This record gives sequence, structure tokens and C-alpha cells, in this order.
Amino acid sequence: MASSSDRPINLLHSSLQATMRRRDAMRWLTFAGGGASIAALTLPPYSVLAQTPAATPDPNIQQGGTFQMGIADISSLNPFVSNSQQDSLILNLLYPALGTLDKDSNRLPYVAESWETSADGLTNTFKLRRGFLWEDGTPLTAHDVKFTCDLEIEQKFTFKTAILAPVASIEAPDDYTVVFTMSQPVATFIYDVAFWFRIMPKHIWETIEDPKTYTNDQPIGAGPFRLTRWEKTQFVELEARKDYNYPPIGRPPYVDKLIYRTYPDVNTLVLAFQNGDIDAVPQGVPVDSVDAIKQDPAFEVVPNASTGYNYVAPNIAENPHLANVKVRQAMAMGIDKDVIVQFVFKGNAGKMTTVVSPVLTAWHNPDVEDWPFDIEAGRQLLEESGYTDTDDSGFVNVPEEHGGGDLELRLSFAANEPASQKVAAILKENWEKMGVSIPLDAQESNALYQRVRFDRDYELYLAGWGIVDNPSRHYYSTFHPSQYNPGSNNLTGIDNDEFAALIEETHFNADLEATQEGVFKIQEIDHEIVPVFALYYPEFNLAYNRRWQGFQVLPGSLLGIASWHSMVNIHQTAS
Amino acid sequence: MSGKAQYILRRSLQSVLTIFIAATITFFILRLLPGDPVSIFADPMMTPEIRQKLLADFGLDRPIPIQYGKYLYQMAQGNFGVSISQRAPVDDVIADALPWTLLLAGSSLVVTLLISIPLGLLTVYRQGRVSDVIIRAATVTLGALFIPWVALMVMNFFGRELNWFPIGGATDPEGGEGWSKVVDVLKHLVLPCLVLAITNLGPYVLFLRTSMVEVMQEDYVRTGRAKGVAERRVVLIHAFRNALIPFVTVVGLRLGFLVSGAVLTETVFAYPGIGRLIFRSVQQHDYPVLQGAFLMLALTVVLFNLITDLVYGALDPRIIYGS
Repeated sequence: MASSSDRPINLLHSSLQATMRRRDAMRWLTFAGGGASIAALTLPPYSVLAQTPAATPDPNIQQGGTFQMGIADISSLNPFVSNSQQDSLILNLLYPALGTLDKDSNRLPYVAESWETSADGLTNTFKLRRGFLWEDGTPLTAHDVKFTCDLEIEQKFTFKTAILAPVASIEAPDDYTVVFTMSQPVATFIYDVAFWFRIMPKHIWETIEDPKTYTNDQPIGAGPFRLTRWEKTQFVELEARKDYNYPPIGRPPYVDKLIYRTYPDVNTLVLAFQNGDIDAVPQGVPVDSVDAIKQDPAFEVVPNASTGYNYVAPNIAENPHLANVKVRQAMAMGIDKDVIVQFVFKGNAGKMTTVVSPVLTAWHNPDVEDWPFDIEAGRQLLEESGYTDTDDSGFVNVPEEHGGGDLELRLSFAANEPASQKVAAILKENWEKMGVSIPLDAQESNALYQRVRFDRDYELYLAGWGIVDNPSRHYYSTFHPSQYNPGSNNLTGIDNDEFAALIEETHFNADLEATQEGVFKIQEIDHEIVPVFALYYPEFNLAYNRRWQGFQVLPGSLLGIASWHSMVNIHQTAS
Repeated sequence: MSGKAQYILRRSLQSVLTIFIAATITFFILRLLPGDPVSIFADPMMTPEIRQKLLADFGLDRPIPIQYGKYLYQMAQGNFGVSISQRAPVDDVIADALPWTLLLAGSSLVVTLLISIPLGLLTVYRQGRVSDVIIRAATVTLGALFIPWVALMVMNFFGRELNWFPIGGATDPEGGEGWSKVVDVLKHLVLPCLVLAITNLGPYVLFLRTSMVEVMQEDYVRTGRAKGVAERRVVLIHAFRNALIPFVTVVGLRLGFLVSGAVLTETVFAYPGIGRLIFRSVQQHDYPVLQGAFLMLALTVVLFNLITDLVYGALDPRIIYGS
């Protein structure tokens, strides 16, 4: 159900908001996709599905009305290729998935009735509910699920396909059973597949010549809403299906219509929200507008932490000093994260210890403590490792075998992002105090992307990930040596045998609990060897007008206040 | 074939060449940008194989000369390919946006002329006096303002404070049909049109003033005055008509600016035109859309230059086309 485009933040920074004034690029674009799956993994996995809540329409609830939201530009409403959070907000209401979540992150069955993984982890079976119909009256069956995933595998539409990489075959033995046979066990697979893939109608899409470029102007879905109007680049209008009575909600939405208006500039969007033209800002308002909105009693602001994080990647493979774990440990002690959080983000951020965000409660190891902010201790560790200021330049000198000059590490970051500039300035000040010379290197974001990922021409790289929904997979793709290829997400080239072995064993594992335990252990090593300097996770401020109520805010999720559950539950506040 | 027809034919052939060169430059400049469209899709889950597949889907894995050949071949057939970020045919994407840009650029040109011609003439009447200096300084200053800032101020004042005009967009989803739709479209047009017009006044006022001041020193103006023709008539009929020829040239040349200047205006006003399309496509390295959009711009400029040249003839019968 959730598609995503977690973009690295350096790219986010090339966003519109970054080039115009006072924008908060991360705010917009880090959102990128996702959603349900993220929240899915924030709580301990459930072996038993939560019960479907009984459908009891409340007579006191005011029905009807049009709820309007302001979002960033839509890229595509073809669910196979769609690649942004705003697309997902809409598509999740049109196309169902095997599973969904409620506001307490309970995993609710949606189209699936139950799911099961075999003991060896090689067979994942979904049983589907009967009675789901596509808008045109055709029953939704296991063949639609098989068709959707087979097409994803065949066409490799987007990065999401990586989830299906360990699948050997998909079978639909009857109309309501789907079996995924795996070539390698992956404990999180069943959740990934249930929450990341919207089910598509086979009878419509099998006749489409090129599903990659099909614009899907008139989608046939099976969700609680149907698309009634799409004025390209202006707005999308959805209408509630008043005949909708499927689980897990079992009744039609209260609202009559949803309108998504698109604004390429977030400042205009905020103005329209303050003016009452739109009722909600589901992708968040920029830090500098938050206070004004909070002070207005007409509005409610909901803080919502990102599952992504920002970091400084050291070029471990190419730089002999950064390859030295003691140097990295020393530098880890030289970062004043409190100042970053309070000064740059005015508190709208949280500190990271390892690359697993505290937001991901099921995965975050709370016993791993951060390196203390202690410049003296850091300096001492540098001296113990042969980095001493021998020429009184104020900067430590590298050992003789490396030439004996000042230790100088260039810090590269995307020039068009104000937050990065501030963070970089703080890091420079901290690290230089410790004795490491840090020239700042502000670069155009796409050029930097090329240099870091392909040319490996960097020393320290300040960037971020938009969404990390599955830390086990994240460790594998970002820190496993097998993934250190041109263009890949493994930027640092860290090569620690124990770390690598543990990552591999954890990711390819049939048992979810073992995977989680593994991730806990990996974090201990992560802390010890400092593969990256994890800095902070951003927090978004989602806002809505109190004319409406009934929002079901998904915690740690990026669908926030405009999730499937919010949209079927919202209703006008009685005046 | 008349001299005029020959002239049009010759100019048309030149135009085709100009457009071919513009298309070629656009193609290569886009390829010179660091990074590629697929890097926009970067994600913790993205594997190099999927990346390669995406590049192949858009033909970006082929050598540049082959991409270029394919681009020219498709362009000759009026096919600009498929948008990488929107996954829709570029022809459709541009066709959706073009009417809005034409409406905005066209109306703002009219407003610009309606304001700048009287102002320009006023500065000639008041040459050297305070009002002349103020008008010149004000129009140039307006042109130097940062458009997103002006746009937000204007929306905040006329939209939020006074509630006269809507904030952003080109239509209201609930704007109705028929006449109420027309009114709705016009209401949405006013603020972006105003911003585009006031930030563009400077060059028009200054150019009209300069060319009027020059013309006013011509013999026929002196003769007119000597004959006892009323000053108003001397300025408006004798001088203005002659000063218009260089002015029309500037208007024609600046039309390209008007459309490209709409990039920021359209983006901040959430106006669904070509400018906003270009802005977003640049961020996303959407080569096919940019190629299509820039070609549209090139076509507009070339077309308006041709029209400008033909307007000369109407303004000044002494101009003869052809040899």
C-alpha cells in the first residue's frame, strides 16, 4: 500500500523549497513515500492479527462535507511507478493492500484474512477475504495479488522491487490463497509485502500495453474512495464510496469528498491553510511557520518524527585517517548534537545514537549509549593514535607515514539546503576545536551525488535518508561490503568482518525475533566502530483545521494525519 | 511571389534552422548537468540492478550520439518522449500546461503595455522633472525585486488580509461551471498577472522613453511644432508612431522573458503553466519534459520575432520586405 521514495537528503535539497527562500526542503521531500510499513515496524511484530473493529456507525457523527488538503506536486497516479509521498496519500485510498495499520500500529488485516510463514521461512502464505469487489464489480482475488507482484518482479518498476528479490515464485492455488516461495528466508518479508504493495486489478492491467507509461487517469480501484476528477497540476478529487462496507472498517467514510490541491511552494500552501482554503497540511509546515500556526486556536499541530536520519559519512575505503577506527571514535566525541537539535531545528528534531532511529521502537536498542560530547577525551584519543599537534598549528598532525601534515578532512554537503549549512558550520567548529581541520565544501546537490556515489571523491559527506523502515535491510544495503558498488547506497566502504557477518546473518533469517535481536547486536558494533556519524532525525509538524476531527495519527509514520484510517474516520466538528 | 511572401519564406527557413540549433543545445546542456534523472529515485532500497533497469527504461543507458539521434528522429515526428518523473507523454504534459502560460503571459503583456506606454509617455512630457525620475526609479526597482517574495506579499495582502483574490492555483475545485468558472479563472489570474506585469515594467518604460526622446529631436517634430500643430498631437501622432518601431522590437524580444520569467511566478502562485513545469522538471532532471518545454519556448520566441518583423511594415510603410 505504501509506495515510497526515500530520497537521500542531499537530493532533497535540490528541491524547490531549497532554491526558493525559507523553505524546508527536507520537510517536503523527505516525506517521500512510505507510511504504513514504517509504522508497521515500529512496534513489536504481532503473531496474531488484531481483531477487526466492529462497524458501529455513530449517530452523533456529522456526515458529509468536503475535506481539502494541500500537498506537493503529484508525480503519477500509476501505482506501479508512482514515487512520492503525495501520490501515496491518494493511491492508498483507491487501491487496497494485504494489510493495514491503525493508530496504535496494530497490524490489521485488510484484503488478507491471515498470513503465515513456514518454519524454514521459505514459504509465506496469505489467505484472502472473500467479497472485495473492484469498482467495476469484478471480484478481487489471489490472482490479482499474484499478477501485481509478478509484474513488479518482471518490470522492476521502482526500488520497491528489491523487497521481492528473494522470491523464487508466486502461486495462487485457489482464488483466495497466495503463496510466496522464497529462495532465501527474510523474516520481515511478510510485512514488507503486505504493506508496500497495493493490489492492482489484473483484468484491467493485463491488457495495458506498457504499464510503465500508463497514466491511469481513470483508476479502477477497490478502496473506500474513487477518483472523480483529476485536473493535472491543480487538484485531485476523490469521492467516498457510499456502498463501501469492507473490512477492516466495515462502513463507508463519513466525509463525502476529499480534494488534494497541489502547491509547488510550501509557503503558498501555508498561506492557503492559514486563510482556510485548505483544511490540512499532511506533509508538514516548515519550522519557521509552526509558531504562528500553533498560536492560532483554529489549528491543531501534530508533531510527527521521521524514521529517516541525517549523518556524516566518512570515506572509510579511500581515506587512511578515516579508515582508522580511533579517529572515527574521537570525532564521534566531537559532535554537539544538542546544539544541532536546539539551534538548527528549534527542537523539531531528535538525537541519533546509531543509524537506528529511536522512533523505530521495535528495532532501536536503548542500551546503546551515545559517545559523550567530550572534545578533550576526543583529542586525547587522537593523540594516543599518533595524531598530535607537533607544529603548534592548532590542528593535530597525521602520523609520519602519512606525511606528517595537519589532519584535514573536507566536509562536503549540498549547498542549497540552509539546514545543512548550519549543521556543517557547527560540525566544523566542534571538530576544529578538537584539532581536526574541516574545510567546508558546499556543492550543487546533483554534482555532489555523482562525486560521492560514483567517483568516491569525498572525505566527509553530510546527508540524510528520508525513510528507513527496516533497519535490517538498511544495514545490509548501506553497510554490507557486498553492496559497495558504484552508485549503491554503501557510501563509506566500511569493511569490518564481525559487523558484516552479523548483518548478513541477521538480514537473511527466517525468524523475525532473531532478526530483531540481530539488529540490537549490530547497533552495539555500530556504536563501537562508527561506520557513520549519525546526527539527528527530523520531526515534521502536521497541521489541520479544527473544523475537522477524528484523525488517526500513525506514529513514526509518514502518512501521518492523512492515512487511510484518518480519511475514513474524519468528520466535521459540530459547530 | 511577392517580396513579402519571399521574405516570410526565407525567414521561416531561418526559423527552422534556429529551432534545430536550439534543440541541439538544449539536448547537450541537459546531458552536461551532473547526475541523472534516476538519482532522484535514490532510496535505501535501491539496488544497482534496479537503477540500471530504470536507466534502460528511459533509454539513458545508450551512448549519447544514439540518444541524440533518437531525440531528433522523434522530435521530427512531434514526439517528445515520456516524462521521467511523471511517466506521461511529454506532449500531453506540455499540452496541459501551455494554455495556462499563454493566458498568463498574454494577459500580463497586455497589462504591461497598458501601464508602461502611458508611463513612458508621461516621463517624456515630464522629462527631467521629479515625476520622471520617480517613475523611472520605481519601475526599475520593481523589476529588481525577488519575485517569490513579491508574490507572497501580494498573496498575503490581497488574498489573506483583504480576501479579494484567491491564494494560489488557477481554478477553484468548487468553482462551478460556465460563467462562474470564467469568473473563477479570471480571479485566479489577477495576482500572478499583476506580479508578472509590475516586475516587467522597467525595460518597457525606459525603452519607450529613450526612443521618444530621440524621435522628439527629429526634424519632422520641429516642423510639426513650427506648423503650430498641438503639442499633444505632435507627441502622440508624429513622434509616438515613429518611436514605436524600436519599441515593438523590444516587446517582441522580451516575450521570451515573459514566458521564462513566469517560472518563479507560476511556481509560487501554484499556477499550472509551463514555468512551473520547467521548475519542477529541472529539479528532477526530467530531460524529455525540459527538451519539449524549451523547444516550445524557442518556437514562441522565433514566432514572435517573425510577427514583430511583419508588424514593422504596418507601422512604417517605408519598410519594404525582400530585396
